[in-house]
Amino acid sequence: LNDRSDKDLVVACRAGDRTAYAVLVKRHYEHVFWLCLGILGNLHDAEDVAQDAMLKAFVRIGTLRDGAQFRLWVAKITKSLCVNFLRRKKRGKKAVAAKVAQPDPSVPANDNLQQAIEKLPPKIRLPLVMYYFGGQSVKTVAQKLDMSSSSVYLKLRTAVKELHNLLVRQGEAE
Amino acid sequence: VSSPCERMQDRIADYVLGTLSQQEIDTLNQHIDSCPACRQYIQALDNEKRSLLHLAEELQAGMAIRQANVIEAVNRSSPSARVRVPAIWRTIMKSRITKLAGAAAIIIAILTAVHFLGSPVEGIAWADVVRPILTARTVVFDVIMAEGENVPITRVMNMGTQRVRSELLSPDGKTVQVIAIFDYDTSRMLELIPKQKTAVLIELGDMAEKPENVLETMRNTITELQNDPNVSVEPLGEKEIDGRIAKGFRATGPDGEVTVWADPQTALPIRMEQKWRQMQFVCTDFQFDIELDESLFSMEIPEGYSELPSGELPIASTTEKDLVETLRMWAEIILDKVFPEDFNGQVYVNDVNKNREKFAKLTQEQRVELGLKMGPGFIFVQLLKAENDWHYVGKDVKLDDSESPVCWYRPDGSETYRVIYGDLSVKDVAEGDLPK
Repeated sequence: LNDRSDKDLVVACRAGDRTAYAVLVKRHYEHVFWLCLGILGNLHDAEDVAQDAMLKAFVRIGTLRDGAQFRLWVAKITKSLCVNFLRRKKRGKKAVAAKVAQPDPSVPANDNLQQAIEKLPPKIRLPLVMYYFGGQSVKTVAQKLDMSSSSVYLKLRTAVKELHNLLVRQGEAE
Repeated sequence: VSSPCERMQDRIADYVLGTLSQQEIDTLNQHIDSCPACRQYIQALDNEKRSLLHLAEELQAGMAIRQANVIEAVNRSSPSARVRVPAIWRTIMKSRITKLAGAAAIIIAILTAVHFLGSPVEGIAWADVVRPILTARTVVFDVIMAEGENVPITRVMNMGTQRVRSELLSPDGKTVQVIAIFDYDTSRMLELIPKQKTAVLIELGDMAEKPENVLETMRNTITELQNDPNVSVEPLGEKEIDGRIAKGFRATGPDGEVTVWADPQTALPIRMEQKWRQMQFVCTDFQFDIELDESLFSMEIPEGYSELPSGELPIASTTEKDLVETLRMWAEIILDKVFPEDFNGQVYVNDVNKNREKFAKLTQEQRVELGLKMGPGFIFVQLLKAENDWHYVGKDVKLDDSESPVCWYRPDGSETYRVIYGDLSVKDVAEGDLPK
């Protein structure tokens, strides 16, 4: 199964093969998770929404005409769920995500850093998350976010400087 | 400590990101040797970079657990949730009789109402729009009987042209209330009620005049209409349907009109609206050439289901007597000795729903029998052609009223009409003597 193309796996999923979907999860979840973390900024929100996105894609897999487009399609679902989540959060009604996950045992020790990341504007946070956390090259980030490499560089530069400013301010507040 | 030099901040950030050339690094080094503020800035950014990379490692380490949680959640999700439901089988399918008889009416409607799916549209757009219908191996779509609340919706799946599966869904869209599987090769229909785990295997009768199934009819009609110079087509421009831009065309033929909305990019149909004689349908959520599992079309009674006595629903050989019997049962059993306001599936489902307490005492077998007996009259009317000139005027007519006509039609090749009156007598009437 691991060698099969997304297109083949999507076909198998439509026929009810959940094992095939598990392979798609292993292949694409990480990208979905970084997208969520990049857009939402909060680790636990990102875990919840990333899971919702993968579940929604599973439920709606019958509507995906071209299985080869799974990555783009699931990214679209993810972005849409993130936007809805932020909208609800803004209204003070935090979405109740269908979370089955246990608390992540690997919560980073550096709470300050996480808080600062959460405070970054999403537009510069997303490239930062994909570049540092996802370990992706500037070129790959640019392709995935549909922007130029120079634009990604500029956002990364701004993010690095802004993150420092936030950490300094947090340090001063303490 | 003073702030880092304004002009050097970008350069230092670029250094941390690793995008500086060696020459630029050398120049930067010369500066920080003489500028403590910038030296401290570069150290801070470097430390923050290491913290980011450390956090990244920790996040990566938890990735496998997150993936496992997602897979577990997927495995725990209900298989029925995999069927997307655009709307729901809202409030009406409460009683067994509604489920069965309503299902029969809807299934019949689905069998026949697609008669005019598609129409000629100028140029490439039309050819593109109908190509999926003409060539797809499998087609799935939802059929809505009418707009508004309490509207029955069913999902129709076609495997080739010989096997069709219809599913009626629960109000929450999560469970399938009634499943009807048609196998035209063996002229059988299997009806399943998952909640009650009951199954009825129905013989469709002598198939010498085998009716076309949905997909076959769609294809034949499209081909036929493409060659008909008398069918007028009106482009409707673009509008948004469920967040998608769709391009529309309306074709008007002898038996009604058909409107097709298609994706302007892919030319795949998104929605088809049909007004055909008394019946109005909307088909939505089309999917072409998706994989459909063979088991969806199996005519075997599923494990754990009990089989109710088999019945017959003679699609191919319905007659005027069937219509009279349907009218009699509708007026006598469903309503209080009065004929319905109109003769169509929507009115029927509403009438059954309004009078559901009447059916409470019926046994399960009696309900199945009633559902099966009601069906053929609908089929008879559905199979009438434009030249049969069907008219229904039974609203407010009382059962046993021998003076008032309920409906009339002209049989194939006949010069006179057959008029059915309130007492269910049938008379031959010349066209000039038809009720005004």
